[in-house]
Amino acid sequence: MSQYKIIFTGPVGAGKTTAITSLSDVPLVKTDEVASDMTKQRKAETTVAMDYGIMNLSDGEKIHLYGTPGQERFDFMWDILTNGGIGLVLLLDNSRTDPFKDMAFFLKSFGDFIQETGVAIGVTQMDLSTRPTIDDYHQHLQTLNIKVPVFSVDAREKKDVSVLVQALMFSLDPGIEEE
Amino acid sequence: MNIKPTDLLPVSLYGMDGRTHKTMTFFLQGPCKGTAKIVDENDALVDIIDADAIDAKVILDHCLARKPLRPIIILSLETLKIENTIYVNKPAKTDEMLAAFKEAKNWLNGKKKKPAKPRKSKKVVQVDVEPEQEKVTPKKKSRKDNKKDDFELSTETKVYSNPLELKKTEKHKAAMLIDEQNFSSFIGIVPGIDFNDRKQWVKASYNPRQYYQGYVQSAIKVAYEKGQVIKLNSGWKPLTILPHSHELWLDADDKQLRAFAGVVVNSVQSGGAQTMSISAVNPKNESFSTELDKFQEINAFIWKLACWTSKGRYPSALNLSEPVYLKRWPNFTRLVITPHAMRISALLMTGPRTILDIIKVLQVKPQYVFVFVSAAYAAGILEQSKRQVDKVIATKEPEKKSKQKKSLFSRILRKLRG
Repeated sequence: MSQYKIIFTGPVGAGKTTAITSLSDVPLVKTDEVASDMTKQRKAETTVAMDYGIMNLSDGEKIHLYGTPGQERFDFMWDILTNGGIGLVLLLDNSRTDPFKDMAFFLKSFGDFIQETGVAIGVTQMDLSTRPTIDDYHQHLQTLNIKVPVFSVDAREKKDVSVLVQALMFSLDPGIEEE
Repeated sequence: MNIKPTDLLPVSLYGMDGRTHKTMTFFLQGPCKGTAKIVDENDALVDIIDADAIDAKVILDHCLARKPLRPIIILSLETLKIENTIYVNKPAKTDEMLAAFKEAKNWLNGKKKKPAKPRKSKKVVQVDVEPEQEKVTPKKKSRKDNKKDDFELSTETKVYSNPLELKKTEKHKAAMLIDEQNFSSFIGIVPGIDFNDRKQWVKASYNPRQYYQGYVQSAIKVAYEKGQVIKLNSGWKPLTILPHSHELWLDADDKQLRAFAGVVVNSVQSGGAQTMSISAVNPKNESFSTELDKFQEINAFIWKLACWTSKGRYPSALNLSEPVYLKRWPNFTRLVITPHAMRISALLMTGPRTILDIIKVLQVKPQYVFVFVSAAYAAGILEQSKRQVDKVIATKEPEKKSKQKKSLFSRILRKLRG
């Protein structure tokens, strides 16, 4: 069976865990807990800290949902995570001091992967902090010559996360239709 | 104390939450393998402090007071020079971390480096993304690359948030998805037009100025131009527009709005009488605070108003045979999503297309495309292309994905739509 993944990234507190929980068909598994089981047979070096969920498709295919570790600065893990990925969901926390700086950081860090696949951006916490607006994000992206979906998202709402991932799918292929 | 180069340096971590602690463990066990191990505070010989933590100063004072001679490694986004500490810039790179451990070992072995003179800490220069940078595709950074990263995460301090905003529930409501089955009942029907007859498409247009939509759009334009709170008095329900917060206030539910949206208010038959007026208001004199759920985001309001006014028609200002282009993706999570709206958006983001072309390529009913362009045009994110080159150069067909990929994406869509 193929290993298709959708990667969720963003700064700490942006809602990656919550978003994956909203979509996952299984309770969220922290791979360090899995590793705890595995350490019975393997060494302790397998400890990692990332979120993992699964979307089960109708034909038995699984889409793996990975959230990058909260300590995003350890970029050596990202190459491993993005291998086999079909797209990136970038969640940004609108209540942080400089979400544009965060956005630039992640778009640069995942630049190669985004070029090969695509990205959709979800802006969380807009009910707490209304600025910058979604239009502001688009204007900022324009300076980077990037045109991607940017949506206001409540990571707790399955509908919001679903619409965001749908937009990612359509941006990868506008011609797709629901099977 | 003599620490051998091969000894694992026992370190303790401070100022890191559970997940960061675990990731740091992975980092020390992985790329920094064989150098350090994480232990309890009492067993450690070196302290590692995340200086960007809220209580970092308290932690540092505690560490210095408890064990003045213990080396302290400071991790920070800001360049810091604090006496008796070893600074590592975030994002922490393997070689810098290893160098810090080496210095700490030397310190413990009596080869203590002369403490740096305390200097004013200076903020990391905030590097804006260069406008001329066309693509965010950096060369793959090697771990041996010592060049300082120009792109960094912002600090984590939360900005002040408005608690009232949480009560404006209508503004932050999730999207309403309208499928093909419910389209007509939701949008309404225009009598006298057979959308199955292509020849009748030409007359399937409408002029927003004859409806409430046109007046609302004009009032919004005035509010933004003047930077003033404006009230639109329509003889129906007053609408207050607050441009600074991109919201409006209306004491009417969607059912009432939908009913009024379809009423012609400015027709030739009525002698072109304009029954609406605008006036500047002082928001302090309005009773908004008691009815926060009646606030709506301006773009979302215009979008649905245009859908209900259009009823599957397109604005008369647009030509079906001239290309249109989309400036940006609509914020779909906060909008009414009509059938195939996301497909239409994705297609238009690949380049300008005529409305007729969109119908042909996506093989969808014209009403779905017409209502989409009506809403997007009203929201100001869709325009008719004026450039000659857009007419001459045919837009490339979207890159065809493999059947396998296409099928996978379709199945994912089906799953997401439940």
